Amino acid sequence: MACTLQIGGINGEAVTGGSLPTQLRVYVRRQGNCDQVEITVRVTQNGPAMFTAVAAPDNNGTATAGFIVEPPIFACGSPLWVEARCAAGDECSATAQVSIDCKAPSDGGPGGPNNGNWPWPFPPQLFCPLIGRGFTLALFTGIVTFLTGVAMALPPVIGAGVAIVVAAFGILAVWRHWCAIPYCYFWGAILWVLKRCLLAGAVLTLFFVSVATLLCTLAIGFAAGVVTNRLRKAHCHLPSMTTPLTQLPLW
Amino acid sequence: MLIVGAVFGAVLAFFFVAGPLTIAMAIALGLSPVLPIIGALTQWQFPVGTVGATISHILFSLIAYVMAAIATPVPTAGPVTVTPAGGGFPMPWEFFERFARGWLIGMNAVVTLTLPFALPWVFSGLPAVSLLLVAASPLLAIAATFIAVVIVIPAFAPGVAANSVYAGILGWTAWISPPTWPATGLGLLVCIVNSITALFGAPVRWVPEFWTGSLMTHGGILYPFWRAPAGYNLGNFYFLDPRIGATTPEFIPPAGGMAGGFIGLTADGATLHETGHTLNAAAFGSWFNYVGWAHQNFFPPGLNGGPRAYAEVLAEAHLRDSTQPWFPFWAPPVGLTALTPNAPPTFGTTTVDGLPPGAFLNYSAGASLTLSGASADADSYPAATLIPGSPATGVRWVFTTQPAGAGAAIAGATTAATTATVPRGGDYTLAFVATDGAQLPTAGALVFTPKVVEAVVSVPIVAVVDQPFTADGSMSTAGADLAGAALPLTFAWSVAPPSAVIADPTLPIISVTPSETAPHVVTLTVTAAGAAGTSHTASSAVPVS
Repeated sequence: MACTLQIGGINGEAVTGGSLPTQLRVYVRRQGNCDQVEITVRVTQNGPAMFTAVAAPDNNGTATAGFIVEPPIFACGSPLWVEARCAAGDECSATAQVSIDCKAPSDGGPGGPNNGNWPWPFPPQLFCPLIGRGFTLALFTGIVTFLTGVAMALPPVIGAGVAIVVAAFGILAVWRHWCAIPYCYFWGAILWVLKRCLLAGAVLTLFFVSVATLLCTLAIGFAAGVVTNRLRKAHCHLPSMTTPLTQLPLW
Repeated sequence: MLIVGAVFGAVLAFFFVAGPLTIAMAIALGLSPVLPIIGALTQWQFPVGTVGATISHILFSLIAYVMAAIATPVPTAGPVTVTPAGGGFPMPWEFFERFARGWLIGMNAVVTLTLPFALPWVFSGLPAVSLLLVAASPLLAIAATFIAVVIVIPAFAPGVAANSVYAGILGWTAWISPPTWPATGLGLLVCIVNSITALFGAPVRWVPEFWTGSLMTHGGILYPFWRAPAGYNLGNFYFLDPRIGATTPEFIPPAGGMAGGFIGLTADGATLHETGHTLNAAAFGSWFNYVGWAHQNFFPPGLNGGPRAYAEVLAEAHLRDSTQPWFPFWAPPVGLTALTPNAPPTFGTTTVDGLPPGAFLNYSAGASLTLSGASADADSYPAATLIPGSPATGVRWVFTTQPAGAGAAIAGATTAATTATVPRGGDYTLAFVATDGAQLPTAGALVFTPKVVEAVVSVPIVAVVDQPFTADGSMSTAGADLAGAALPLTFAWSVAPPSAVIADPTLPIISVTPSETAPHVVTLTVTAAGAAGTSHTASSAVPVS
């Protein structure tokens, strides 16, 4: 999978009384094979580089670079030109003009875009991939637990699997409420889960010689086919079974 | 007629396929008195019951197939697209085809229902095992009934068979449908053999096809066992020629060489066709596929063999290429709606050095040609749809004919804009083809015919001063004009040092008399008449003693 980069945004922090942030944090979303991202910030597209840093994406695929702005000269909302280039991995790059967002972590209030602060401790560039990854992992864990319970004919394990799947959809509700999930990303995550569960189901079927697990596995395979068709119709990228979770696009 | 056929097939299977097994099992269990009439008619005992059931199944599959194939007279010439709107070929005995198709489905459903119960007995040799197994795992009985009644039988309804969701269910449940196992089992074996060869360096890759629950093996040692370039299907396994591009359209010369035409084929297009066979096996059973294989490979086009075999026509419905015959049966592929066929790719403005196909192109030997091709695909199907991000069309430039030993080369044969070189004089045929990833490049080929002028000088190994020697330029060529007539050449000879005497420097063959002992360089410039003065110059040195 070739890599792609996407400029997530700039967060202005440690804002002075004059609405001038003294720290900037730039977020770049990484998909695919790229272990290091070089991030450059300019005032304008053709202007000199003000800041340059190399950052490694976190487990959720977000590369973050922080810069000190001393003295503070950019007001909140000011547009800056951001360039991102993969410095270690496949070739990919991205550029965008983004405005400085000066929201702060949650102040305990109701949150939301008009609150002035984020409703959670992290900006959406970090929160959305995190909870997306949580949903994906929970769904995968739940289905595999369910399949294991079916294979071993253990109702408590089946129940636990169902409970985890329900919890995963609870996480999904949060994810969908607070984050604008691209269609391709959401169904891509579902397909990734189904593909891996299909493999897990096949292994469990063979290991436990379980007819019920076999039927469940076939149902998962069928579901994977339906999701594949959905993604193809939308001209979405199809995640591979071997794609690491950290490289899945999840916001 | 489909329903009548399905009922007929079900009854037939009950008595002649499931019946022998069931009755033999009942007899073995001491239950024959409860079935005195049928028991008396079928006094088959295991293993006769199993063999008889298998032979019956094969025989009735063959009869139904032949009936359907006779009633589906696909024209042998030209591309044919079968459409439900009446644009296809006439089928005066269409009801026979429908009856036979229903027969196959009904028969397969009953066999599907029976085999899960019979097979444990067959394998264990103990009839009670089946009953115990069913008693121990009612899920098996439920699954078999579900597959037979809910999944297989609805295939006779055209609206159901042409539903992509149904195709997915049918394909995935084929894994646990025993009538598909004679094909899928062999497919597993071939897949394993291919996989073993991968350990020794053979290029093999496996790609699951999630729509129909099939597994593709791309490459491997067993690919030459079919008519290349192509693929073959064995139940839920299918195998593709490694020369077929996996993700990008490619063109592969047919067995007769490039002069025979082009075959545009991608793994995507082949996948849709081959998984059509997966669905065939799921609905009709493995024996249908084996009979279809024999029909395709051992019968001429006059008997609807080859790609016009009934099994191929049904499988092609899953791809719906615009150049291959297909029957409106299986689900429309992704990206197509209703029962519409794939839209073929089209050409844009394609030129060689700015001139369109058919124009007179004249070059000197060794010249470089600038190639500019363009193609498009209105429905972006199948390549761009199946593999999001891949181009809608793939292209190839190829010299289909060239002078012997010319060694014409194309810098980027699969690139629309590229260059080519024509090293030797004579006639060349340069073709530009495009495919959207389906079986054949329906847009055909755009053909360019460059004519290349080359001066060829033949002189003796050594000459003697004041004695004439012959310089022969008659092997020079400019190829033929568009009408096929040889292009006339004009000759211009010169010799260095200029003291040598040339009899007539405008003839193809001249006499040169050297007047000194220095080596003489004989130079010939030939110009093709009527070709805007295109000329080529060649020289050859002669030692003079």
